[in-house]
Amino acid sequence: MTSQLNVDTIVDKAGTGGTTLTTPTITALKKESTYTTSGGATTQTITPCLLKARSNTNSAGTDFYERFNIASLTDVGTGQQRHNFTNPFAASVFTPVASMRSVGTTSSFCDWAGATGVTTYSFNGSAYVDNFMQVLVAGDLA
Amino acid sequence: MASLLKVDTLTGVTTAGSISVTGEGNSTTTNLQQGLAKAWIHQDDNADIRDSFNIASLTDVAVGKGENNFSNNFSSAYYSSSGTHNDRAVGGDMFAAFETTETHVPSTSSKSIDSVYNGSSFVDVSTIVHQCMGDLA
Repeated sequence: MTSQLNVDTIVDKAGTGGTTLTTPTITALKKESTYTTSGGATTQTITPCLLKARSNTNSAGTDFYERFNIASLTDVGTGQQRHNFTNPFAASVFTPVASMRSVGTTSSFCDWAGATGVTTYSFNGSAYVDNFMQVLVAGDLA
Repeated sequence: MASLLKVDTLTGVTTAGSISVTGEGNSTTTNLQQGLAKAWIHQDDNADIRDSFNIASLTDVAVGKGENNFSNNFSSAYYSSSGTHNDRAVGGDMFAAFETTETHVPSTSSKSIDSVYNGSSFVDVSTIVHQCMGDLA
């Protein structure tokens, strides 16, 4: 049987040291914080599950439609965009994935640019060509 | 001392939709809501959902062309997504294309996903996986 107690204050046996009950607030989660998985069978640490950066850029590689933890873009060359992180990663190897937002004879891929950025490429088999790019980045922050 | 907090919903104090999480290296923080994948799917040829999150239904537009319809919409049509396609039987130079101008314009309620073969034709494939990141409405 479950029970519910509705009280405003809890006090010690002596009647002093009362603690007013308030709704607990959480302002931040520690990196060790875990959550129970959807299946309920285990727990997993939250921080490494989060993607740490993302962006959606125009074809010229000069502006963002949307971004998170990306401070700026560098137009490395035609069809090559470097996405510079606001907060860098802990190492120069992390896990980015990239896709483009138009159809044609091009394909897309990406590469690390040190711990501070990721470069996306749009390649048509013989040359780099400008394209709308989207990149998602997972890994450990510094 | 480690503590166990049992809750069904996490809400930020200053901003309801913003909770900080300490980064792995302890030198910075990231954001819980911004880091979550808001939709993902593992599907076959735009018709059947094998596994998904926040995907209400699929629309089979044409051969190699489909739309994933969200349960909860994004706040802007320009969110970020990525994915991959696979079909060993088809082979060749095949890749995923999103929001192609031929079939779809960016939308808050659905995502256009096409499978392109050899850069010239659309083709149904056995496996499509992709994720969407961004701000929900």
